[in-house]
Amino acid sequence: MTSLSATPLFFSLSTLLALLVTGLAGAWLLTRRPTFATPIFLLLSLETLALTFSGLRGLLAGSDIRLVLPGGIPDLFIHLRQDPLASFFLLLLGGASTGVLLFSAGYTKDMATKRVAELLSRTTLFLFFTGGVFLADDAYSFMVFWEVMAVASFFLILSGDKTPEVRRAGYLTLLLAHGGSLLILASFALLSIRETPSSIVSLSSFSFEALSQSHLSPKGALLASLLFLLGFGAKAGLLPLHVWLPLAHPAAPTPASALLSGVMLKAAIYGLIRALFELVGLHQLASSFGILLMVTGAFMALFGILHAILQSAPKALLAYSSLENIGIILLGTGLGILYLKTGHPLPGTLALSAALFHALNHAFFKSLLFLGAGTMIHATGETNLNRMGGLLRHMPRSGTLVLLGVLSISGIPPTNGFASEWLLLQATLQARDLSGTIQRSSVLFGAAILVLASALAAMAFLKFFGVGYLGLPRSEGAKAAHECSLLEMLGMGWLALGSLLLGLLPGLVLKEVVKVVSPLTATSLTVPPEAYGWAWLLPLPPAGPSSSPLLLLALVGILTLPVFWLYWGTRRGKMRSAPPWGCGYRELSGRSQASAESFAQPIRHFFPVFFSMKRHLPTPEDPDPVFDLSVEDPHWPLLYRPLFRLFIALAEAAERVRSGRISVYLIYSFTTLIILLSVLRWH
Amino acid sequence: MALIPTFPSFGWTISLLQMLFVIFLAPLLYGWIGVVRAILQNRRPAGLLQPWRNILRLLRKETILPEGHSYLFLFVPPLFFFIMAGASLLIPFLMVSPPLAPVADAVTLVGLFSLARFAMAAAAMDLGTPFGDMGGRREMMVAFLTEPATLMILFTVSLWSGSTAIPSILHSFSLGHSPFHPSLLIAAMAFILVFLGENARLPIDNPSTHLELTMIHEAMLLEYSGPLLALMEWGSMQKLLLYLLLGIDFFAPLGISRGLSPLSLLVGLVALLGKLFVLGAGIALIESIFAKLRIFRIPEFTALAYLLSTLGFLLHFVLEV
Repeated sequence: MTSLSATPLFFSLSTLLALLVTGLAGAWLLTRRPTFATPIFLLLSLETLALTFSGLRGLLAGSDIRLVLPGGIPDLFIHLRQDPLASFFLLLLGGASTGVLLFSAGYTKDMATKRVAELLSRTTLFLFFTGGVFLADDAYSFMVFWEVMAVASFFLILSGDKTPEVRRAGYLTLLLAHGGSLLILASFALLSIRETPSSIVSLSSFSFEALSQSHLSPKGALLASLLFLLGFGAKAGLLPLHVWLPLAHPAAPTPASALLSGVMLKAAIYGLIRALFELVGLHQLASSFGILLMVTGAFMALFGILHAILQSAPKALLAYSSLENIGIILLGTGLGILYLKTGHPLPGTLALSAALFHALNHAFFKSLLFLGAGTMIHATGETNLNRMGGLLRHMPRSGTLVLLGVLSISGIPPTNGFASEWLLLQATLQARDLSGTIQRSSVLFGAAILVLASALAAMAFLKFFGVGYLGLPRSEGAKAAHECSLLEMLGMGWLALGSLLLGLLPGLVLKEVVKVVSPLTATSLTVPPEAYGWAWLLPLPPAGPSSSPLLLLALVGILTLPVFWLYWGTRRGKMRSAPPWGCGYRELSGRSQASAESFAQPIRHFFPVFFSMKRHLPTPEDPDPVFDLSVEDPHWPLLYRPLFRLFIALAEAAERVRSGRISVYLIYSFTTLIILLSVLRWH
Repeated sequence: MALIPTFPSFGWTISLLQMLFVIFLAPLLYGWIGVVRAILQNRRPAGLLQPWRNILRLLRKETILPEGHSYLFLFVPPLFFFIMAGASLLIPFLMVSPPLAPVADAVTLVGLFSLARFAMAAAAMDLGTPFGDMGGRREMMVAFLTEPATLMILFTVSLWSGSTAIPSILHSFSLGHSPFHPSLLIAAMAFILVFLGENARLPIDNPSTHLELTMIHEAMLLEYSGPLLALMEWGSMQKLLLYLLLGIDFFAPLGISRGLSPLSLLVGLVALLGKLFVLGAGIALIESIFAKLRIFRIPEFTALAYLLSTLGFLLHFVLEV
């Protein structure tokens, strides 16, 4: 056991348990000593920091350790395993939640004790079971961890305001999550079918190792992978199962939103990658499935970012932009499958690495931005961008951190969002190696949509930053905005630092990510990425394209900063100040600025198919003219509402058989029995 | 003479020359476009040096800081200027592979321009003046299709080398196949549209407009004065030149110096100046023929660029492989 206790798996496990115990005990303690909130959150963030290092250690060592723990039911053991993939996601979990918990230490200061205790216990439950999802190595414990994680996320959402909308969002989340779980379960069952009838299906045959030995027909494998895609997709916001996400993520309290978007979506990505590459197995995947995944991802990226531009509430904007990022990750995964299945291991590994890299990046910058949105809302008391404005002057430090997150998510160099999108684009460019028009044109489609979505993201986040942080205040609340507390800033600073380092040292990150991908694909890049130095992104052999965000930053910095400091540092005090010219219009006020909707207008007009719009334009004769516009996700009127109506109609029809008389019910039971027996006999 | 190429820092010297070339020649190119435009419109030209006179005059003037600006307002002009100056070290035009070219491939370069654009739009929104907001927003409205179009054009030209590094693209074009492929032709057409959109030229934006309501680029600079304004304007001039240089690299690379011998460098320089001379006149011609588009029509124009560039990419696979 001495050797086991030194392994990263043991360390991760004990950290997770410590996290759970601290959280639950802390919640109990809080009800007695309300002042303990800050130290408890600080302790928790230290524990997640330890988890980060545990993941990092496992990743650096490339360790792959299994552990079987006795479970509660006889013959059922809990299989645990920390391989590089699990280590990578533990690192992601720890890294993002450290920042979020640090932030929570400051954020919860003004909250009622009861709600802090709620948030605390639910957050730790959520973190523990998400960690469990990454470590589970059999279908049974995976499902347990997965389900509790889903329920914990439901409760996290409910710890927001107690309004009907929040309840509805939480209910929808739970509904889709459970629907997804059923599909995952079905797929596990499909994989556990053995061709040899002699082997008895015991519970131990549900370990991932046993499941990965399955031999399915091509159709069966496609079905299993589709079920996994839909099942995990329901939790990742896959179109068209995404409707809960834009409602749920903004409804939760800020730290919870950050965790749901930064971490939980990645748990779904983890599940999908684990299931596709290990359980179904690369040898059983179809290249057409890769194309499907890629096209879905591309469509999702475009859909998400277009809707993000339309949102005027900062959290809703961020939630829709999560759809874009998940789309990019799915696109990379699908591209990877396509390349690997058509015999191009190098670009395949590259695409898959880019997808995982982007997942890590998204965990950092999206959590940062959600926290930033939380500080905006907290500082102004407003939830709409149209009531904010000018916040950079009141909140210069946190505003700068948000600016960094905005640049990252827009994929602008030298940030981490750029690095991963760059890698993904390089992977799509290898399409010329493919044969077949459909394969090539689908990759081309993916590349074209990817660059379009990335450019639209810059527009969406100029809106986010420009309307929220720049310009003049648009409300009394925005005028009285205040900088956030030191702990909140530290939490955001941690995430910003993480984003920055991931972006400036992409070579080092890529080297570790390739370690995660190689066992999945049974290939590796021919030349290790770090062979050219740590500051370089050079994934393909030496003649290939290269990029160095660090040197780029250094180049622009060396040129810009001296001029900035020398010239403006010496002259700034002497420069004359005057009211803005504004083309001669002196009465500037918050209302003379562009509103958040003005960013959305050209997008609405140019991409009408993506929205379901209802517009009311008043006629000239109208004595009481009102202009009204409502924009909605077209999935509601086209898919969900008809579906709900159908279910209600079915339920009402089924109601008719319920007469309330026991004799009728006995006849029902009797008939069912007869039918079942005859089926058995006939079989 | 033969010793010079072995001198290790010779490549760096050329790089530095490239930067000086872009910084100091960009206003002249602007002046040249103005001269041709004036001649075409039956006006007396203000002279080749007019942009230089404007810049020097602005540099001597006082800076007036608008009340309520944030640090972005002050930081963006030097940033914008030096992003463009720095980009001139990364794009090969006097020599095929400048020592700093590996730092940024074509995709990174587009990203760098995107950083410059984002910074400029953010600075325009800093004060909350209606026209500044409008300019920043419109700039992004133009860019959300021109930027992907630029990338798709880059992808198309990089299909021959399989690499988005600009020196390899140039190298692949020197390897025999003539640059008259249908896909390249389409990409070149798309590039012209992108060029006009990205650099605020007619028919997207009128660089010499005085009507604020129709402005895009100028609206973003309305609050700037003195040296800050000079840096922004000068940076935009560099951007125009850089885009032309990129276009020359991709679609008309003939004559660019392959080695470092002084003669070939000189030939390359002369060829380059000749191309810029012709292209500048071409821009002036386009600007004299076309009227400015209505602002609502701009997405159609840029969408055409995007579709053309995607089509070019597709054509390569359909016709040329």
